[in-house]
Amino acid sequence: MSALVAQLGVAAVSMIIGWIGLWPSRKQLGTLTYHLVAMPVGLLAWPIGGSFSTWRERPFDAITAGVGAVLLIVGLWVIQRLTARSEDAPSSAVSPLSFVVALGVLLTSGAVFTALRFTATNNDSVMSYWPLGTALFRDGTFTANLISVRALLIPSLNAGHVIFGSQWAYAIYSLFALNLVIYVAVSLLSGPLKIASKGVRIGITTAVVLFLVTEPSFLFHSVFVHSHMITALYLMLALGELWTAVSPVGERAGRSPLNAHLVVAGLSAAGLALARPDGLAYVFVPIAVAISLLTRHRVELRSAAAFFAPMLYVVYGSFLGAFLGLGMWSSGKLGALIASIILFALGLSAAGPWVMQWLDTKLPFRVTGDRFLVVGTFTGLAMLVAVCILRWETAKLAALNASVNLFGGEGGYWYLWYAVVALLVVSVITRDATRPGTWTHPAFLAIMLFVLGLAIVHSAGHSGRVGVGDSLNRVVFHILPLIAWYAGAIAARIFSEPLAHAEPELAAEPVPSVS
Amino acid sequence: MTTRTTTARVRALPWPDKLMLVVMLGTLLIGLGRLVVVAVTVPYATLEAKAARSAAKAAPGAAPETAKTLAEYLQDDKGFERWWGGRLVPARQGHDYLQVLSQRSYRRTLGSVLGTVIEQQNAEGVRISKVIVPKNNDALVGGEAATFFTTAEGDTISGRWASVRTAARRITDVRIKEVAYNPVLTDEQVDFLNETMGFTKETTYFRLGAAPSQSGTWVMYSHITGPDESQDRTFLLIPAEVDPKGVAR
Repeated sequence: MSALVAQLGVAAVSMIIGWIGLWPSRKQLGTLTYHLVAMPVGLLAWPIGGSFSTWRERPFDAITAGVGAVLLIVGLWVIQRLTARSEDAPSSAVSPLSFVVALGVLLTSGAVFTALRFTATNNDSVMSYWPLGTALFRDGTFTANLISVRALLIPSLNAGHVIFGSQWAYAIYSLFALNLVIYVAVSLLSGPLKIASKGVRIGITTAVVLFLVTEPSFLFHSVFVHSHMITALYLMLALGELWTAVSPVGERAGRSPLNAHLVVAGLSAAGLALARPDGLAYVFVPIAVAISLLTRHRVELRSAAAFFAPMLYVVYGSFLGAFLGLGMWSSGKLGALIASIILFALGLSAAGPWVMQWLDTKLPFRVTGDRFLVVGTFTGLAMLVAVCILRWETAKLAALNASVNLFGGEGGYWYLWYAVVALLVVSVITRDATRPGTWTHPAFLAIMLFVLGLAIVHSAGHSGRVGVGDSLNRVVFHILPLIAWYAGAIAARIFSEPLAHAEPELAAEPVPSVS
Repeated sequence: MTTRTTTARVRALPWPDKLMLVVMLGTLLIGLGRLVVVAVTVPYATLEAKAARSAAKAAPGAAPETAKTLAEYLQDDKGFERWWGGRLVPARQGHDYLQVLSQRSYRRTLGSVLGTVIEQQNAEGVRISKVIVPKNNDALVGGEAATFFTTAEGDTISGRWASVRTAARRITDVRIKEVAYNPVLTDEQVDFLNETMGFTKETTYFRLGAAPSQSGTWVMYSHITGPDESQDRTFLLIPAEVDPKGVAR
């Protein structure tokens, strides 16, 4: 029993925190999404708690965790109240039974993962993530090393596990994986597959889930004590919720963005930023997607605030204690000065929708809506070229190592990245990648932006190495669920759209209506 | 949609869509095929390796192992035994750690286990003068380690986390050798390393240690092989010890 409490305490408490925090938006989010995002959202209370203990120089204990939870919940309630729109019709009521079922699924699956005792580690896990968590629990303070090497989220979660008596936190990583798989399935079903027939819905969702759960890298990261599964989860949640908030269906109906989903997207972006030090770079992918979606029409203050306010609240709240407690800490990786600049840029990005809207009227070409992502992709490409020129030796080695790992079989992915490249190239031919107003176009551009960000970050400073443990080799996993989602969305389009040149009886086949 | 209409529908698709479906279906089928291959071959390889190990152990004329096991060592070394108590190693007690040990990182892992203990003991005024390390890496992992995620390089990067009792027994039964626990690096060597490698304090000070300015800290110096930080790293096991100041022993 104590082992179960130790392994599942943080996950269960986080789910409850997430429920309370998102309570005002529960009806708008819908039952499934509300329960699926509760734990990831609730996890954000732990780094806020760590921030508080660092500032107040107090232990990282239950009171600290409680303060983190209260700060997150209060902040979320205020943000949701300020950004809620009366015209956002509740999609459905959330039944009390669903809470029991959701918690039951979490605890049951968590108990199975705990009993299986599968865990995978490397040096980072045993020498860094876990010890930093125990040190945070013991000393109650973030350190320069913690911030710069492992970021704030995972050590805080590990410190939380120590509160519950855990010797080694491992089951939660499998829970992240389960959460991610279910979310991918649900977001496909409620998005691109919504108008498909029942058979198509079942078939495509099953195929996507099968692909993920049989992919060795996904299985590995499901038990790997590291930052990858949680980063993949937050990235998928951020993008999935953004696309749900401003969906092609909603666009065609002339509906305003669904702010409840934007709030979750902003929170997930914050999780992405806090899960790894380089998360502060990759968070600009969902930010770019958000700006593109928010500028499809005239920018609405409430919608922009719904995304940016929770993101900035959580990220700033988590870092605030570090600045107050440690002052201007120094580090070769992420010192206070660099962190300040990035955090300032993050704050500045909140003005992005209005800036792009203004630029759109001044420039000879469009820079709002989906075009913003296109412009962003080309800007990223230009930055990559510049980085390659400036740091050719590092970039060359990074490219070489990446190609050996991803295409030479050394990275443990087998054939996978050939298939991914084929998928992306063919999707350009089928116009899924380029056709505006579809589910797939922004997803393709988000994948491209992430890949470019990955290439820039690693070309600039990480030449990498051959082998499974290479940083780029691991980080590229973060978009795997997104690629699976993209493939599912393309398949949904293929099997759902009316065939213009099909045989007569097929062309006449009615398309199921949106329910 | 029936099978017939699905087939007809697929036939009616434009060729790029057909190509896309081929890519997707191929990826999925290869993935499923791979799963079957792994499911069949990995347990077989594990059983085969286990049988080979058993055969090697049972082979007549095999050279007798002269090194002591950790358990035997503990019986003979009263000082060490006092320090550890009579417990299995590294079963958790107080603030000790039980860590999963892999072939590749066992030295570093052992370092973290020892580091934690040494730090605590230093704080209590106990001086650590020697360290015992496993004589054979493989013995640490043992035949029971799963090979599900074994890489092409042969590193076990994951294994089933053995129960505390199993892990402790495995470590306790491992044959060991003794090395002096003295600062591996002199002050001059430390300075030299810091200058040449450009270490920051964050990377040089062992992460479990107390604040760098405190006495009683034990520090761990990382030695980075290769031209830059991204290359593979190895850690010197027990680099330096700072005696606790003002603590009577």
